[in-house]
Amino acid sequence: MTTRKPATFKLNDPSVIVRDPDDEMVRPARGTIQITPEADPSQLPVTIETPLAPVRRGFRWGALFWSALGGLVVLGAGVSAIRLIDDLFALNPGLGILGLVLAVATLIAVVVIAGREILGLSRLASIERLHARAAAALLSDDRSEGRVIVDELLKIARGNPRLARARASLEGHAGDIIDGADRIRLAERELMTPLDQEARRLISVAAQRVSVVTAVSPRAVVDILFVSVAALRMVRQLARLYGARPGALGMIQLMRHAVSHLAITGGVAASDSLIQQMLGHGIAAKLSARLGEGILNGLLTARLGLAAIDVIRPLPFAALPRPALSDLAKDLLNKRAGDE
Amino acid sequence: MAAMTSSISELRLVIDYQRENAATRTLTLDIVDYPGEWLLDLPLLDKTYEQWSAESLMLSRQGPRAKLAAGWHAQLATLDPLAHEDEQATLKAARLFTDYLRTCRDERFAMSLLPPGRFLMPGNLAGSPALTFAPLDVPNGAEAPEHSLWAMMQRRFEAYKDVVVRPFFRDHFARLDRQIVLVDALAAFNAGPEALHDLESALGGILDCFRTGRATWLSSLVRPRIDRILFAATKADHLHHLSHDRLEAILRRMVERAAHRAEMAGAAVDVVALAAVRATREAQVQRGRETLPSIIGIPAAGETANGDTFDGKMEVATFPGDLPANLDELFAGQHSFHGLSTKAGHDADFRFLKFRPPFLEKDDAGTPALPHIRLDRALQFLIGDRLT
Ligand SMILES: Nc1nc2c(ncn2[C@@H]2O[C@H](COP(=O)(O)OP(=O)(O)O)[C@@H](O)[C@H]2O)c(=O)[nH]1
Repeated sequence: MTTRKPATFKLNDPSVIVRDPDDEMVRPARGTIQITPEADPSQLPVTIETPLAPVRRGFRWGALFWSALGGLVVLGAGVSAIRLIDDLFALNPGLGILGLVLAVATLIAVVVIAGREILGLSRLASIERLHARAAAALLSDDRSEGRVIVDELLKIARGNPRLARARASLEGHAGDIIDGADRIRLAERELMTPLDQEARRLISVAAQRVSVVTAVSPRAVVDILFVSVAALRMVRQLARLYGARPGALGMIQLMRHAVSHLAITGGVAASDSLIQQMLGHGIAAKLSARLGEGILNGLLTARLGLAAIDVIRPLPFAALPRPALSDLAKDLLNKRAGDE
Repeated sequence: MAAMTSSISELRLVIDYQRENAATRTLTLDIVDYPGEWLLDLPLLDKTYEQWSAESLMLSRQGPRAKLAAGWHAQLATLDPLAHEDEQATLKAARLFTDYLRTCRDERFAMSLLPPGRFLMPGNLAGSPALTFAPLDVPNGAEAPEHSLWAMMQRRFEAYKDVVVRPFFRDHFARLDRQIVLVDALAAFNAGPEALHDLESALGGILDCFRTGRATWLSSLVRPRIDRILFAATKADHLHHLSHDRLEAILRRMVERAAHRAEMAGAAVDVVALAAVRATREAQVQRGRETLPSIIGIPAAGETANGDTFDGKMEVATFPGDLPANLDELFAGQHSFHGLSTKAGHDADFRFLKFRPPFLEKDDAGTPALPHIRLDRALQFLIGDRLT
């Protein structure tokens, strides 16, 4: 039944090599035994996250206003459409039928679009909920909760063929791990590593584009337009990457959360880490004002990207390092310095 | 085996804490430690001397026990239950019977089902006449003649139940409301399948104590109070954490049926693999193509493996063997794996070494703390609800 017999190795035996876990993997020489001590998984500190945008309480008068107004507009549109079709029939039955067909097509399209939007919003909401639950489970180390969270993650990851390998390896190992928090950390290491790398690349690209364009653009209006388009694009890509496919409303929601998250966590940090970045590289002195402005815009875009990751990533950063602005800034500065 | 639990001891812990809603509270926790062997006495209460004799004898003639019981069996053969009572012969029989129980508990055999519990763990009864009796080969269906050896043994057995077993359950067990049962499954794996089966029966017996829903003399004696029972597979630090799931699955399987009954009776039951003291760290050992999930630690002085005897100073990496994943096979037969009770050391399928305690680590506040495995989880299950 058992295949591997017990074995004991003395560490001071000449044929035993104790390897540093950080060293490169080398195949042990014939006849030698290589021992690699492992980092202790259960002793990793649990980071308690800064909460995402604060929860709003009380009755939402704004929501009521917009829903009521929306309802009125829809009613008005419906009534005028019916009138229009009536008029068309009165004019000529052929025109009337055409009008009716167009109206029905419009209706169908509206229903489909609305359905998509709702789906996108609910997917976004479920990812944010999953994030919160994972953060709680990391603290409580609850087993069944950890299992449920990893299952849901796998469900989200199923849509991403790039994660096929990671998914298979996670499904293979997850059964061996019984502690809730460890399970979530394992899932994070397996599933989020490729995504985090890709996210970092996406943000770098967007930041670079912004910094280049704003450095050479003739007008502030063009700047603003370009920056907002690039930022939207970046956030949308990040959302898709982490498994949410937000529609237009979803994007608005996501941008709102990302910006308010940026405001809570980033406000202070943004300014001083930025200044440090600038001074640290002595860059402000070297570059022209325009160029400096471009880099500043690039860094701000990067910050927004990092905030968006915090909002859209299904798991909090526990086992993996949170991508830091300084890394992205380095990418950006290296690129710019290379271009000079 | 530096310090074994041989008697009952208690510790009171008063915890002052603040609730989420800012109210301050106090929880008084009485921790009662008693030998698990004592719980095995409970089934004796339902048995007559004759039944117990017959069962003990049958058990002692099975498997590896027969060899260990040879000395006692030899003396038993010379005793006539119907003869006149004889204090000297009784003393000798009790001593040989106790010796047999004690060898059964040796780490090579690691048997668990060894009642009466006080023979091994006398507590404050060491040397008392309450412990001088032993099973006899009594004829079926007969009555014990007056003043016979049989009658004397019977009297003492009943006295044992009255003065030892009942008071323990009345005075201590009945006062508990949370119970953790520490189970050393790894010792059974070291020893062999017989030890594992023995452990399973012993756990079944222990679980009977918690069958609080059933209307027996017990429910009249013990108010159904224990509402959480945790079965803990101890010494989880003796294997790599990737095997903890199997260790838990094995223990869960052993307590499954009885645990189900306890759950029906309203008690929550959970199983966890834990280590009160974590004496090892983990490592991967690469040997040729094979990667063995292993642990590194300093074996206690006198431990042996592969023919080496350790001095208590040398550090080793050890792979204790793969715990079986297929539980049906494991519990099916007497030959599902090989242990020290039937094989020499190098043929055994498992070798769980004993390790020296680790060097003390300082925690954040600078007080020395012993590393552990899942003790927090155990506490959460046992008293977490009282601290909210
Ligand atoms: N490394 C380690 N050793 C343990 C653990 N639990 C028990 N032991 C060892 O087992 C011995 C007996 O434990 P103890 O709790 O006194 O056993 P009891 O007689 O059943 O109460 C101890 O001295 C330890 O050497 C554990 O979790 N980890």
